[in-house]
Amino acid sequence: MKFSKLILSVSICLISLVAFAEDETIFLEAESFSDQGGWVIDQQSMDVMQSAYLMAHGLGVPVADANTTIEVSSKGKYHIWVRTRDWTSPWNVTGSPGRFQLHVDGQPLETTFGTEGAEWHWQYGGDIRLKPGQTKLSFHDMTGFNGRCDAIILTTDKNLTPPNQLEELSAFRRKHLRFPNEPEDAGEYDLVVVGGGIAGICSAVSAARLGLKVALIQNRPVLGGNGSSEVRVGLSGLIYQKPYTNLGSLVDEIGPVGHWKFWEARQDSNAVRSKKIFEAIRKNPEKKEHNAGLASNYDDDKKLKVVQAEKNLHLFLNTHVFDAEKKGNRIVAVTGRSIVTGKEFRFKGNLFVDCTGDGTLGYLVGADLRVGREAKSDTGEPRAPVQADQLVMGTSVQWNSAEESISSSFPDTKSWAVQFNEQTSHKATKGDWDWETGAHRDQIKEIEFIRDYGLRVAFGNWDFVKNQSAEKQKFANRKLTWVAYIGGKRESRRLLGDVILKEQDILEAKAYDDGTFTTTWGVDLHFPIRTNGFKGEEFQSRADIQEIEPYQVPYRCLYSRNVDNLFMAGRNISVTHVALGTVRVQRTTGMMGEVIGMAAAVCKRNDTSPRGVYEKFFSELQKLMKQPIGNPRW
Amino acid sequence: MILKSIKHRAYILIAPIIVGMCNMNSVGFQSFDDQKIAFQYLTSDKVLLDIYEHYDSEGLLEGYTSHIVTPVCEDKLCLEAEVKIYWDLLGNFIKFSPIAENPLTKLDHIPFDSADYQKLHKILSDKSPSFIHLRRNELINNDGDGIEGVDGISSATVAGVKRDMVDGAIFTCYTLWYIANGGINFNIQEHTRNKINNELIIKMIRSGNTKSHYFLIENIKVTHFELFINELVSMNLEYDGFFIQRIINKIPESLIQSPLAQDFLFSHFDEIEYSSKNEFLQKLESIQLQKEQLSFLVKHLSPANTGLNQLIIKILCNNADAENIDVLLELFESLIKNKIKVSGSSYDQLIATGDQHSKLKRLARKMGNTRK
Repeated sequence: MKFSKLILSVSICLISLVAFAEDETIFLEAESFSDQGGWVIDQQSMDVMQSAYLMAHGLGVPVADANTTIEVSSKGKYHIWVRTRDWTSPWNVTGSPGRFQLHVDGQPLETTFGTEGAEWHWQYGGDIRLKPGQTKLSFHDMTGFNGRCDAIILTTDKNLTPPNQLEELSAFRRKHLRFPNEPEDAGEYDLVVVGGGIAGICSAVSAARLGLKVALIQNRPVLGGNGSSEVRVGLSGLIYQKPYTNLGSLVDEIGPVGHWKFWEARQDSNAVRSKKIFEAIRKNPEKKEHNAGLASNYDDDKKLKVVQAEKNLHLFLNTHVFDAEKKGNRIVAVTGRSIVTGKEFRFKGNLFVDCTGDGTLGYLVGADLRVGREAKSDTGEPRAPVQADQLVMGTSVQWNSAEESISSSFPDTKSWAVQFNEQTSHKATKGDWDWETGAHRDQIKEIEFIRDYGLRVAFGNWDFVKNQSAEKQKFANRKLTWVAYIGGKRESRRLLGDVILKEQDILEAKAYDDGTFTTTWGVDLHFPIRTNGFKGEEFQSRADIQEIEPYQVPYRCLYSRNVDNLFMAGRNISVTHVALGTVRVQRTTGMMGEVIGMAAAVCKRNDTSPRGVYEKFFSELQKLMKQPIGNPRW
Repeated sequence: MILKSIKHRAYILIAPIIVGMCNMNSVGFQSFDDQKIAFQYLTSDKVLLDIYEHYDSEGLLEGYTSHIVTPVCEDKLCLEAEVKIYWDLLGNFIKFSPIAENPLTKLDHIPFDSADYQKLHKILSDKSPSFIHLRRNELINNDGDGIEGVDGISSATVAGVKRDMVDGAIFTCYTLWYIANGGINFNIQEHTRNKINNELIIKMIRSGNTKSHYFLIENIKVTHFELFINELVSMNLEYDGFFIQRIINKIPESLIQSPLAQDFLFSHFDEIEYSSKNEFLQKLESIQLQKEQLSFLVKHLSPANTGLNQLIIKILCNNADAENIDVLLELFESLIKNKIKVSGSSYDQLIATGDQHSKLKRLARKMGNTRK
């Protein structure tokens, strides 16, 4: 008996030792919390971070907790790491406005997060004893000023230093989230559209209506890009222009009634369309507010319904394309990562369209591209600078406020926001398109910094105007109602096609034999404004506009010159920096999408490439462009 | 040269208004005598303008001016507008002067009064007025209700732009704004860029004008950068971190090695913004630094700043020679203490360096262990 007891005791000890040797590590993406409360997902820096993050964007009012439940399998002391940063630290300011707590089963950890480090890193949160079973985790925002978290680790391994280098972090994430090595198959398509802004929607719907099987991949929960309620830039540019007077019908169908439809209606006030537009404006006069208006002005649902109604069109929201595969000069597949769960999906295709705005897909597959301004000696353009440089048009962080019947307060932001005084502050009730920053910065790698600077400006200015200015009484009942946390970008990479449109082409009305949609917006270039007395980085821009006659843009600007099956639509088409000034507005980019959907149909019908459409089948595209692809139902 | 002749003139004595306008700001333009034509500019209304250089009392370029006579609406119902416009060296609108014998006019050809001129000055000084994205024919509602006055004709002004217009003179305001603030700004900057010389640089540095300071660092040649590096880096003290980032971005490779530039940048390293630090460290990657500077950088390794750490490590790798063994020891100790991981190529380089010295070798092994 004694011997057998000894055997039993030794066995139990060994099992315990094995259990102790197997440390438990739980990795959790913050953005995958089952209940996000008032926190929002920001995916804008995924090309840099490889992951989205969760952010408490409360305009100075702490947002509701984000909650989730995890399953702990073994009891023990768990060390907690939270991947976060002090988002104002890059400016050497104190205050750490992005403070938040992590609650474990309702109890806050002692550590306050978001208080250190300019870069994303693992902040140690101390240790806590956990029992097997379900444990509730909550992010508790303390400020309403953009605290943020990428991921959490709970580990019994006291020696674990979580990896922070991207490659290692990515492998660590994949291992602990138990993701397969290969992405999940998301199907095979005639056309894969990457980016669900106005250009992307129009490309996808146009192609689907012409019989192609289409995937539309959008990295936000809503469609519309700059024209969505998340960014709130009104759609500009004229549609239904000669010679293809039906181009723009789809833009008309998906676009809300707003400033330009109202203007068009006034030009022809007796038309049925005009009368319906007048009626819509009469019922909802707020729709006339072009930029930074109410969320309802941007009709997110309308776009979604149009897309969902297409049986050939498969929509993938919340999916960011980060990888692509090529065979020779052709793209064969792209891989997207969910901005919520981190899971990966592979989309095979015959044709692809880069509607990302950033030229992300083109970049991934080595398409020829440009960033910044060309030199005058290279392009001969009147408005090109003497030397090429990296100056771009910036990103707008728009905002708005509302007059209320009672007074409202706004927190003191002096320790961390951009500082203003009577001379430099703007006694404005709204930040329109010209609240634009980052012209000297990389619009992709530095987008978090650019957007954050826009937030520091908006909050700092509002704080001064509300709390300190001589005119503060006028603002007593004014409440900050909306500040964009998704930046409205104007310019990133431009992918190069067989024709690179330049300023003189437009000003001198150079006629190409492959003219497609017509651009009408003036050559509208933005430059940062510098204000005397203001010591920081520019945060506003001015528009330098050269009016133009309506101009037909060649088809050869819409496909890559060195990737055989890649189209592009949106601000990343083949134009110079200066020529971008006219084509970049959204009703114009929508028409690009309509044309690409049609060109893709010609490709499929004739088993040819985008270039082949120009070389051999352009008359077929011309025929399609004469027909309306949209059905605005006026 | 003015291509379009003046068709209508309303003569009226407006001398008091002109005096008022000239007092609007203190920019010291000299008289119109001795003007030198800088270039010609074709407006969108096809009026060819002569743009003149203006000089200060010391004979240095001060700004630009042009005598404008332009149609303001397409159907010729409005009178032409005639004013003199003044710009600074960078093409920013400064002021305008009406012409005594030909004042600006509103609806029914009523001359502008003093308040109208004041408002016009405010409009022309606004870089982003509400009408900026509208074409001329989009300024009014052409639906024939004729409820309001617009220059020489009647129509309804688009409500949103009314606040930025002189009542009854929207086309005048619109046209003059586009002349004062349109593409001409770009041409002026290009002209000034070609005029930059030592004297003008000194003048711009001393001006205390933010816009001029930024213009200088964006536009001066390498030779001027070398000559004025002391003054240029000293200007940083007047600004927040972004200015220094622009300097670091523009400073030629040859100058980043100069003791003056390095002393300044190292002494302000703790104050400058993160992105400026990043830019500065990237510039240092390819140059040889002194031991004290390397030691300074090692002390700035921090577990929270992955990107900057890797740049610092790379700089140390590029300076890894026998003379800097003690700094490398500092580096190894800091990396181990702070559990800072080293990226692939730098790690191999550090291990190879460690092999050259027994203590380094020991630390390198330890670092290898912590890296796993």
